Amino acid sequence: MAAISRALITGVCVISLAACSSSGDGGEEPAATGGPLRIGAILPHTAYAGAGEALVSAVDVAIDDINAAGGVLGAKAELKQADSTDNNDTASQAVDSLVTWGADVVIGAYGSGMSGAIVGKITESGALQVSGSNTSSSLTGINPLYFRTAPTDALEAAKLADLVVQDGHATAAIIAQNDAWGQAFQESMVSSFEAAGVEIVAQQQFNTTDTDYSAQIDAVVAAKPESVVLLSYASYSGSMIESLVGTHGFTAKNLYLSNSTLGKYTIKPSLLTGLRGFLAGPDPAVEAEFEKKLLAKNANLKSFAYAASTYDAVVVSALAATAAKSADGKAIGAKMSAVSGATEGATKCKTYQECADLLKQDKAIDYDGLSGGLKFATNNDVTETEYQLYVYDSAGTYAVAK
Amino acid sequence: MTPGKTRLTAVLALACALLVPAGPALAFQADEWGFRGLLRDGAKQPVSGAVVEVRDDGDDVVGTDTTDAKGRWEVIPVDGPGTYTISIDTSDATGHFAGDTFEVDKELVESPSTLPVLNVVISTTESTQQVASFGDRFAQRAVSGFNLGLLIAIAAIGLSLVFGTSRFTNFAHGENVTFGGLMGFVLAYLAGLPLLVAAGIATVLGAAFGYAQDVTLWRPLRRRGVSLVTLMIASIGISLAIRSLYQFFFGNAARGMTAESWGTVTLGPVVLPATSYASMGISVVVLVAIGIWLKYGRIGKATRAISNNSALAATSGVDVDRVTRIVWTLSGALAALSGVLLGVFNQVSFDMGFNLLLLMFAGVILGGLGTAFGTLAGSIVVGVCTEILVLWIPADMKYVGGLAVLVAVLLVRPQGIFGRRERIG
Repeated sequence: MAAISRALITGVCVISLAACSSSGDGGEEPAATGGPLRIGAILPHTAYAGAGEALVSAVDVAIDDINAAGGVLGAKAELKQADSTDNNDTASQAVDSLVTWGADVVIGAYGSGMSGAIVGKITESGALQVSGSNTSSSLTGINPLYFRTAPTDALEAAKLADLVVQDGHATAAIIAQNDAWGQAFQESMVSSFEAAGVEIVAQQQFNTTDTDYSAQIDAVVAAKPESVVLLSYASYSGSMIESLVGTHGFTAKNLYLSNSTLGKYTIKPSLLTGLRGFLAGPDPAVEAEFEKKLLAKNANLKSFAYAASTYDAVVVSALAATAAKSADGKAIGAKMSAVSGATEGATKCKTYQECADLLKQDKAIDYDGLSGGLKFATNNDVTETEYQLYVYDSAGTYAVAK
Repeated sequence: MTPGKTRLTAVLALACALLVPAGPALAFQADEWGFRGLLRDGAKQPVSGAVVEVRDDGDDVVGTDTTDAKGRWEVIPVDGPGTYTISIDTSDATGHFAGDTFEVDKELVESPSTLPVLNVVISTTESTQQVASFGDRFAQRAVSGFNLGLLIAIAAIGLSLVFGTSRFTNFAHGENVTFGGLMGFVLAYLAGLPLLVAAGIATVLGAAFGYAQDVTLWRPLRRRGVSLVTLMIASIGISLAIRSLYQFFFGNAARGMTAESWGTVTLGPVVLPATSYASMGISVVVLVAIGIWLKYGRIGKATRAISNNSALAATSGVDVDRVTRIVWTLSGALAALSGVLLGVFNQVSFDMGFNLLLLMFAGVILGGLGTAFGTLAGSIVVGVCTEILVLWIPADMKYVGGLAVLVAVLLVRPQGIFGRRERIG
């Protein structure tokens, strides 16, 4: 009996040793500077009504482009995509699988709330987390190994306030979703309005589980604001737009939408006509070309929001790894701002190929990606963002305003 | 300020600029800083011909401009971030306030979350905009609350009748409401049927759904003599399972039920879409019909008899099984109808019925468990209180108000508004 158990223990030890050594090859050790760069992605494959599908394809396209240009650190970059779903617990398990696989860089998550929940787990493993879609200002400076290529809502709030004043309004009301994202956006919106001198006459929050939002709408209408800003996900905004535009006479001239409010609606399209909101993203020509590449990966894609910034997230981390000459998360993190414009006199470059060639010649680079100029602030938030004003047409779809 | 002092400031500023380390600190450096904006009076009229002057913190004039016909002035460039005073002289301006001067301090900050050129709006007079009076707001909320109350009532009466005949609270009743909403979406939006036709078909399908539930689940369970607590827990399980199924097919997003629009009705201070009045009309007709049926109809009377004393009703010749099945069918139909109306009122989502379930329970309990007329009264009280109390409490806490009323009433009348005292204990 004792012999058997001893044999068993020995066997287990051998197996676990073997497991250790095999995971040791995963490039986690900084000493092994070469080796393949392992990029994991944690994005929603079907959840959020398919809003994350374009991001999944964007990561694929980025890896293709990187490997077509010779890969990273002399080897092809490796990719593992895990489905984050919309559930934080499932996402946490998916992170485990990526960490076990030996990811050096993790792209994601889609939502700000989820990123906040998994950032600890990813960065403790020594990997770098780069998101192309987190916009909540509550994530600013959350971890030195957390970067994002999507701009924070704070800058968008400033753009919205600018637009409200440009349209000639001096009072405004805010309707915000009662969650981490909505509250942070609301705070930014309030400070932007205050800076611009716009008086806020009503602020209403709604819970996504409420039976209806008529109480919020009525309170806003009662305050008779000249303009209303809707900070809510598209999936909750349909009835509010119906009510504000259809019933209470607001128009495209005084109802403003946030980036997340821009989406596909099943309400009468004429109610949406002319409504405006900002989306961070490339100029339309670059966008069209990129969308073709994405559609080649997945012909069913409908919405492309944050796909370009997710592509940039992959490319800029691959460039940082090249510059750091290491696949170690911390080493990559240390080079993120250096390759994106923080270096004096750096040469601007727009594709991975171009930038990697410059790095080979030991030149400093400034990667300006698909989503426009890219530059990380000291708190790892992105700056130099380009915003495009989007407007709904009479068919209920939105496109860059002309 | 003397010229010498200005030079000193400039030298200091230069020294500071040189001392600031290069790199990230320069990350936000914009090419252009400045102020542009809009000058208007409280009645939204633009103020044209006013002189706008921007001064820096040393009180030196940085730039000036004159507002145009639209009350607008174009970018007045400044050197960089800092606090500036915008002063406005309306001596030569057109308008009834001409001659006044205004001064506003504004700060330009170097940060990734602000714009380097700040667009400011300055009002020369207090806003003349009147907010809606309390009476107007109260009227609007009361009508909204009545509408919500009727919606809850239609859904909750089914719940109450099922409790009366089957003696257990069906936690899966919210899913019957969602079923109606989803069917409405499929018929009205996807199949493009007129809203009323879609509502009718959805109600019939809801009846079939209720009937199917009784035949396949509840009757076999009743026949085996499963205890009421077990039935209740089974209904929680079924609720979860059906909801997950809805989520799988419909997804997480909430969607509008129809692109159809019936226009807006304005009655004094109350502005509501026409569909809301139609919904209230349908609800009242259906509720009156149910009331008459319960009071005078043969099956209706039998239903009340079973609610009172199931064993006695059975010995008096009432076919309890048959009546129970009819009640389940009716309950499914009513729930589906309320789902369609709720979908028109707000939106369709996979958990819309579940979110309404708490309010349905509140209505049922407030009225007195198992009494159909009590449920009607209780639901309307819950709906109206929920919607009216938001005049005093934040709207995202509105259920707190409605449910506090429930607790308050139960403290005084533990049996509910219409419940009979002898039932307790």
